[in-house]
Amino acid sequence: MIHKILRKPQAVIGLLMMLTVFAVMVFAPAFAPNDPEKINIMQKFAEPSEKYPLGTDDMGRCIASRLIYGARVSMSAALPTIAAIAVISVLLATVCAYIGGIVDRLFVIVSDIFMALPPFLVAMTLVGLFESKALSIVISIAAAMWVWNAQVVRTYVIREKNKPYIITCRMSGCSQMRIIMRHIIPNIFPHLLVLYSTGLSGVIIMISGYAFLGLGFETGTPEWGAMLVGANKLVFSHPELIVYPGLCILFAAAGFNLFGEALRDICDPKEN
Amino acid sequence: MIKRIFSRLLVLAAVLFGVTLLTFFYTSLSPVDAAQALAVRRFARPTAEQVTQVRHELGLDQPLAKQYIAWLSKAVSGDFGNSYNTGKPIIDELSASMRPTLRLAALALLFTALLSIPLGVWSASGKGGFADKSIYLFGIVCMSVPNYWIGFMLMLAFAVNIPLFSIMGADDLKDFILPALAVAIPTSAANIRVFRSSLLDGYNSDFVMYARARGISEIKIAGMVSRYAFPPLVTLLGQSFGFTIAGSAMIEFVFSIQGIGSMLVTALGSRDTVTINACVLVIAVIFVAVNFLAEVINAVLDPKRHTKERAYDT
Amino acid sequence: MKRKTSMIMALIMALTMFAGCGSSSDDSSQKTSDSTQTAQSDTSDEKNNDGDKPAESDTTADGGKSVTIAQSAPFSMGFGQGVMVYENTYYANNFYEPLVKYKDGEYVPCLATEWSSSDDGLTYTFKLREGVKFNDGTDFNAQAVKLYFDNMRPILGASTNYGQFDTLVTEVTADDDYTVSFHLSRPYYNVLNDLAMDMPRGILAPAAFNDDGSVNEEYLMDHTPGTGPYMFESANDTATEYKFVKNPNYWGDAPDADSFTVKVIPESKVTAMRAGEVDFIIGSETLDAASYLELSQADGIKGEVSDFNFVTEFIALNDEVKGLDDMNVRKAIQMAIDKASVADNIYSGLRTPADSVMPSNMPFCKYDTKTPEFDFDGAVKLLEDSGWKDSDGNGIRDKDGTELSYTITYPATGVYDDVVLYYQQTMQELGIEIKTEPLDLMTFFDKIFFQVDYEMTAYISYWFPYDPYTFVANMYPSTDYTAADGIYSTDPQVSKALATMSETEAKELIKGLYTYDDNEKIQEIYTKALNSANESSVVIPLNYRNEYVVYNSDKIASYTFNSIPNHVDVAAIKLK
Repeated sequence: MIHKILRKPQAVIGLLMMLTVFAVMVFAPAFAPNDPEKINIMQKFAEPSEKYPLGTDDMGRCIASRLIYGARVSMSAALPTIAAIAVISVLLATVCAYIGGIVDRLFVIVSDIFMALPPFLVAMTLVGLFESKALSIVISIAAAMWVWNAQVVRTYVIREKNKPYIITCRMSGCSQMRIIMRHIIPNIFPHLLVLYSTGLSGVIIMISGYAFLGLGFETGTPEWGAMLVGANKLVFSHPELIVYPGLCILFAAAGFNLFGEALRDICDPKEN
Repeated sequence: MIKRIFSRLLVLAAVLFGVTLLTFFYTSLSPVDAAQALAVRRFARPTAEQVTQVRHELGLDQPLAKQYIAWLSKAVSGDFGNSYNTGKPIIDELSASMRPTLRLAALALLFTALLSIPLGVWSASGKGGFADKSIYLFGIVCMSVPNYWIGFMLMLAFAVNIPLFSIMGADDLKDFILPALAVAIPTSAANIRVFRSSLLDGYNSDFVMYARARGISEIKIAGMVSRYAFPPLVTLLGQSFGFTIAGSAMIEFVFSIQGIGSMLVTALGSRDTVTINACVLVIAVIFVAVNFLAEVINAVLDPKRHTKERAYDT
Repeated sequence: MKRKTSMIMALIMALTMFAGCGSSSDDSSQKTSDSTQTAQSDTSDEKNNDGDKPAESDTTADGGKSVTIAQSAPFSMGFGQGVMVYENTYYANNFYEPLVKYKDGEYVPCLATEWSSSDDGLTYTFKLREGVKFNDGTDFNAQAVKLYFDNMRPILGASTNYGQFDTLVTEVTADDDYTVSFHLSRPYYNVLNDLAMDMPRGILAPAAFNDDGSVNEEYLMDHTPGTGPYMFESANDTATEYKFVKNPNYWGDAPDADSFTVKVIPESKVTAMRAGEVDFIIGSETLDAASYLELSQADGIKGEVSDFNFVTEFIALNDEVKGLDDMNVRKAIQMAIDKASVADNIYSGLRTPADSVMPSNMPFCKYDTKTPEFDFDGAVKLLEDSGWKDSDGNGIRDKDGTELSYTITYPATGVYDDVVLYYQQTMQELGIEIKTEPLDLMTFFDKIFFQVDYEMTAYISYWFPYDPYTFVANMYPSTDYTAADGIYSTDPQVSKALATMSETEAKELIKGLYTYDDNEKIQEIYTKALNSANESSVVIPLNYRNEYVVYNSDKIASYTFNSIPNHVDVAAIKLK
């Protein structure tokens, strides 16, 4: 498997991009030249210089530092979210699909209901609900998106469940738990990886969308979407304030997408 | 076939019911006391009695279940009550704001189809070639940006100088070109992939091999493959229409369109629960209706496909 | 065969779906106001009521000159008075006129030509201007004035936010066709000021009211029955464009612009103006400082700033919270803020640093005590000397177990964000921890004005002409609206302002505003109140706003600010 990945250029590039994002996220303090939240109104809109590699924004904060820390903020919201989605959807979908019958039918109907609610809506109504803003975002996006992922997982589980080797297992007396844990999940794992890496890029974009609308983060937080808000008014005089955060979102999301799609190509060879 | 449609409709009705129930529940968790807010609008300095009076008028002193039933029965006939924010009938505001959003979504749908179908066919037919690879790469890039950022970029590129694209207002169709484009680009990127893989699937499948063996002309085969490949695309297009409507807030923000997205955001900001409920219901209805339409089209295109499984090959 | 037909069917279905969506006709039809058509003479037939988009060029169909103005929100509640929508306030002066106007420090005739008051101060008599008609053709006379004030009293008299006038009038008499008298229950010093407010004392025609005296809200959704230079003509379906035309019956000098269009553009006003879709934008609530600067530097656009300080932006501290009850802490907080830097750097000079809660250019605002001056080191020393040291090394000062850590609550409208961030950082350097809590406007009102649940807020005063009266009157230390004497403050933030006085003292002082009409006595009260407020540092004024305007300089020659600077005074726009 690893070999196949390394041989595909898209996968490698995607992987490198992902790793860059992770590195920036973890080592942000080392990379960032300045404190991303330090205001210095006398320095606003400064030209790029040694001290401020990309110049400063409208409150005199170092743009480069904000972009770097932005990785941290975005990812630290996105990762728990996708993790929550993964756990919920895998759990529910696997159990329901495996058990089948009424439980499965119920699951389909319930998820139909949740799917009729466009995710944006669910997230927006939930977002104001909790004390901690970051928690609000994680919960609301997870609540909105789990259904879509669950549906896909369910399909994979059903497909897997009906394969001959599973039937053989059952006939030879394996317990359900054993089958699920040792056979089904490991075998759909690559598909799950595809699902969640592309899912992660979607979550990153969603989070930045909410920050753009002003929901969910403390004022002044260096988050890529949030940085686009204030820049809206300055679109002509200082377009860089819009371009840079967007490019960051692009880089991060593209990295995950590239890797995920490349992985998909590997897992579903008939598509190529 | 009729029976299947009917049972589908029943399920959909149940779904809508569930949606409204959920939303009602969500919005009832709002911390702001609507009765108090409204009393302030009316009396400037309401006494406790006046607040109670308003609460009674709005029916907010009833148990939640009763409130829900009252709301639902009125909503079915189109009476959503008056907005807590502006005091005006919500149905008027809704119809006014639905128009621009619908136009935006429709135009975006058109653009998406115009982009996805030819590009999908091109990359499938030239599989592995330069066109295929570059479309793939371009697709990845477009999938990885928020549509409102593309909106900004388009605005920067075209806004001031080219009179063909207007950057605000929602009167003429031309006002919607840029926002629709911004929405269409990321959506198309995903769709192209799907369409491409379905087409490839089709060409590689048994029935094509068999048809070729029988000497059926390529054109006819193309038709067969299209009918096989269209359904996932149709489903996606239908969904994307719904998503555009639901997620229109950000694009509307960038291009100053007073659509239902902005209306919803404003309502959320001012805790205007009745407006929220009404908007969500309308959006959900459209979402469900369009998906249903997509399913019908799919059933017509290829009755043998199993829609129950809802195979997500994306 | 079957497949082929189904394929064709599918294709046709697909095509029709797209075709139906793609061809939307341009149906921006316009609602027009019918009753006003009859009163107008020649220009009526040439108005374009046939569904065309309002012309963006300089001339309308009838050859007149038109100006396009950008606004943030629609006139969602119609064109009534006393409606809590900013837009009504900004535009009211174009349609409705008051009896008198405030100009350069004195009150001048408008719809009234002369006036006098009785010796006991209980009766004010006005001689009305003759020969004036409302734009629906009805006569402007004493009966119309009486009707207006009688009908508006229940609405305006509910609180003193528009001045005490309507709470004190017992009777309005039409002494003859052109003489009106107002009878008060007790003397009041601010009668002329209150009557000079375009909003809400610009006078509407009787047609604005129902027979029972209630406001005909439906009529006012698309009519502006007043005596002013302009009137409503039409609005488009989506309520994003409103057209107003000259009032042909106007008694004063004809304005330059024959008509004006208001476009509702919540964001992207900068882009709109640059693209030439808008000619004129005014107001600090409509256009933020950064956008103003951007536009005023563009070619073909000119920006002007008014020099009248017309509203105070402040940070209010809740002195009932531990730590903030110590005057040294409050004083230190104020001393640590470099107001001049805020005005120059955050607002690029579009604000004037404040040295008093109310600016001195407003009536009665003379004061001897200014707010503590900027002295950061002095602030640190003050805290140290009064025992507020950082005993546990966490960067936050404390004393006797109380830590200086607070939350600042403010409306999330985008106006206060920068200042709050700057404040947070300054306080951090001083050793006070600040957490930010932006709330949507409704929740903010609820929390601050109803529940009085806050530690610090960032907000603004009531702007002229409601300032300074409403602000100082709200310094009354009690917000209990059930009080027997009917005197209370409607603003919890300001009611704490007189912290250097005891509650009894403060009550006595402010009560005087409800008792005397002697200008000297009133001046004494204002001075004492302002002095105390400035010293107490409960309400910390940061700066005064100066209104600004940007306009297309190829089309517009000049603009003169109205004496109420945030009013959109279209008649004051001089075209080239």
